[in-house]
Amino acid sequence: MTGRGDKTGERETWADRAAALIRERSAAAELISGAELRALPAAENLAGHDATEAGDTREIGDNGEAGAALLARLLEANDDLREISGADSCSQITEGDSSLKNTAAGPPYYYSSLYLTEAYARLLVHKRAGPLQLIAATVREFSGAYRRPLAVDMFMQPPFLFTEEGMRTSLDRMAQTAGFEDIAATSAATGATYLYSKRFLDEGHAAMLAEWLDVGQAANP
Amino acid sequence: MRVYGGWAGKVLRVDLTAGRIWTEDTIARYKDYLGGTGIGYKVMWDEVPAGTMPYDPENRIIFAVGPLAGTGAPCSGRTAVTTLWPLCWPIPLVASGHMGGQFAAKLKYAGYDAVVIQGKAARPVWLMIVDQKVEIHAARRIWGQGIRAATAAIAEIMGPDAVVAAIGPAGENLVPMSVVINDRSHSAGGVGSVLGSKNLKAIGIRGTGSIRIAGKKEDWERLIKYHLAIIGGNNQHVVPNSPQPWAEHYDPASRWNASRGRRWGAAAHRVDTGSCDPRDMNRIAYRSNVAAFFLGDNAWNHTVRGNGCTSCPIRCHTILKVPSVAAKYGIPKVGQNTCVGLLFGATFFKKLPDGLKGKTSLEACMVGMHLADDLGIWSNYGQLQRDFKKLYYDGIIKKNLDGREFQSYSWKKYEEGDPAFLFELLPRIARKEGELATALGLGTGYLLARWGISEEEWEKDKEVAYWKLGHPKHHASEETGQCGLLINLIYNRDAQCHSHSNFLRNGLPLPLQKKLAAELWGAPEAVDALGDYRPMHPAKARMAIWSLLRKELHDSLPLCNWMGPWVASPLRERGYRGDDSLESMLYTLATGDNKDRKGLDDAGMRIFLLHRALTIRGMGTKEMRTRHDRIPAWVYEDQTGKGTFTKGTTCMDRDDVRTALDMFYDELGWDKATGAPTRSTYRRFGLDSVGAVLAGQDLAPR
Repeated sequence: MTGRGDKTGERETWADRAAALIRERSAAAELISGAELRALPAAENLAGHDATEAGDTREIGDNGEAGAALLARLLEANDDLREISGADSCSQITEGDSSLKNTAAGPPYYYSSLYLTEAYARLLVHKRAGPLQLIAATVREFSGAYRRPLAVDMFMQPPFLFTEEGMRTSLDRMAQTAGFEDIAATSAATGATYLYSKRFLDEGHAAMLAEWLDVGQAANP
Repeated sequence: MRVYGGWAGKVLRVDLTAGRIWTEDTIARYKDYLGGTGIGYKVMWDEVPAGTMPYDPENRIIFAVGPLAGTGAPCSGRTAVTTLWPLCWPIPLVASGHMGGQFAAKLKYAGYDAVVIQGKAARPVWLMIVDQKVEIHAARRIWGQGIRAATAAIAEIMGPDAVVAAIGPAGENLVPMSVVINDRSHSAGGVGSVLGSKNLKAIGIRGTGSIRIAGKKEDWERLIKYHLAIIGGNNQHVVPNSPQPWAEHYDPASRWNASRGRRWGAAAHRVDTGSCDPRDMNRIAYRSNVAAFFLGDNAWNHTVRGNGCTSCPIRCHTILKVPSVAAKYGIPKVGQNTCVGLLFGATFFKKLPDGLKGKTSLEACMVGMHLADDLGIWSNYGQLQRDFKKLYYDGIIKKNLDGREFQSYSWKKYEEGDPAFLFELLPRIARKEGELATALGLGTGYLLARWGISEEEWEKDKEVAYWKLGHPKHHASEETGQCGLLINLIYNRDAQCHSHSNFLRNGLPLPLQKKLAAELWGAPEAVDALGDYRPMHPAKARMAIWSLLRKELHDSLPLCNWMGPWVASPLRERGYRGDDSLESMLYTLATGDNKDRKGLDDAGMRIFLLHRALTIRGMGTKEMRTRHDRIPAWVYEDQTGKGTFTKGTTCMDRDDVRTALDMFYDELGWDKATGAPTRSTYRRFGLDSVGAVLAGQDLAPR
């Protein structure tokens, strides 16, 4: 791995800054877009940097081939840095199931595996894609991997952080939006709502599991 | 004789009738049985003949630990308390209660691997152990007092570093549903009244010695770090319960519920658990908050910290501070416990004003812990509460009480979920006051018999969770299919086995669980998705047997079977594998007795077989399959109408269960027709003399 050493006194490159920024964002459990990385100044000197120096404020460029090549070289030179895009959003657990590959495609994002797993990065991609996509992708992944429904309450927790109202609105919208027909709800006796994907669970199984998860498991500690 | 590490070397013997105290050499008599339940079963086999009753002076009660207690091995703070089980119905058979806390390590530091109590004192006494100085003292001042006051009184005499295991009024009054408790909240259930029958109020221990580790110091330290590296959260759940930046997986059902922003809100200075990356071994204690797991987010606000046993990094007893209960009920605002002990009060109520995760529920838990852990009442894994609810709502209580007694309870409060009701009920159970309290204190089997209710009525109600012989199910077929069913057949109390359930609830996705299962038990078919059970498979029988052996090893070494086994881990670089040779590695390094996994498993099998032999001798029949290993009707009940082996049903198929039993007995080397171990199986595991005795009574098939 390169780009993680002490560069004090040396002239810092765009690659150094980009790698450091990716890691900084990842440490804060955030992704960074390619656009943000390309907008970084091309070069600057950490020690005694003069921002007015010619060339320091140049950016790498837009979405052109040169920018893509630089980003590719950045990943190649840093073992921990990863690219993820909406189109690349299937977990290894459900790999091969093309029915899951419907998360909105979008520009790539970058993260460091020192701080984030691919699963968490994928969740952040879903979050950026919008609430409906986030809920649906999360429910599908969970139903697929665990063969269990997921409590709506989970979406109030970090990193989802839906409000009750926001969750209600999203579920209402989801019910009227094409592409989410597989997302269904069931309730436990306590009134708690659980979501599941019909691709992986049938109604009766989901209802039994919701009751177990909400009531049965606590009664059988 | 060879000198071993690990063991303290002596078993303390106390005859309360004669007032005699002596010691035995642990290695000479008990080494092959390791410790814990192994020593307990050995004493019971050798010294307590069939036909003895729990409260007879001839009965023994054995507090036994083992070679790992006091060594600093993680999760080694367990004590097994073995005796004739007064709740086992219709005839008492051998069983063990299990407690954590500080008792196990202190006993070792005092120089003992076990304390065996026999006889009956002429008047109430307590036992003081200070290293080699062991004395029987009059308990006039503490008899009749609650466990907290008795513990404090003994600690005043012995000093602040003493540990005290005491019974409460329930045990003194020979209420079978009673416990012995050490360290405030660590109880062994079902055994309190046996101590009461011997007029023994408490055992206080101060130990100033140490335990020698046979292996090299650096090897021991490396092994402990290895153990800590693969340890998870409470119940060895190895993924967090919400998405974390470091985690590939999350499962809301996991008890690893730390997350940045979740705080011990009642600590002197609020403590944020942080994200708890598994590689940070200094934050293992922050991973689980059991109170918050059961009682919801509100419990975080009331959490002071976690508490637990000697050398255990998982602090599964949550210390809660709830100021409102001091004002409302006049009880201490701080309490602590875990699982059924934590939920003792709340689970009496069918309805609580704001549900199990509401404020009233939390207060009911505080009241329940305060009363039960001072009076010394046992819940029998929640059966007391389930029985109570069924008895009340089915009108059985009203039918069996005279009008005056029935009216003496505030049933409106009960129906409304008012925790104050517990002040009416629980002290009466401890004092055997009135018909209801007396019946409840007997335990399910004897209660049903007293009130003329058939066992079949209880056996068919899935909600009441009754299994057989007076005890409930414990992680049985409803959540672990045939494996859990087989495990629940064996014991004379609830199975207390978590080897299988901790694996199945570990939080890894099903494909990963199947992958690990294939490595451990030979085929991925060992495990099924929850509520999607498939037909019996030999790997399920192997998983059940492996689970039982782990339980007996854990109860004898000791290691905590609530936290282990450690066969899955939170480490993705290990493919989430744990290590089921951990027990043998710890044993070998601690004792110097070189045993690999197979070798130690054979010792576990010997202990397990001895338990079976005791059961057969106690029942006087080898027909275990039909008379002991019984299965309640609810297991076969199809509530969905969709039939067995369909998604969403948990019911078992009768033919498939017959196949499961055949495979299980066969794999164990037991006779399939009777379910009794064969003479050659006893011989194979070093119990030829036991096999010979049983064969002489036609209790061991050839």
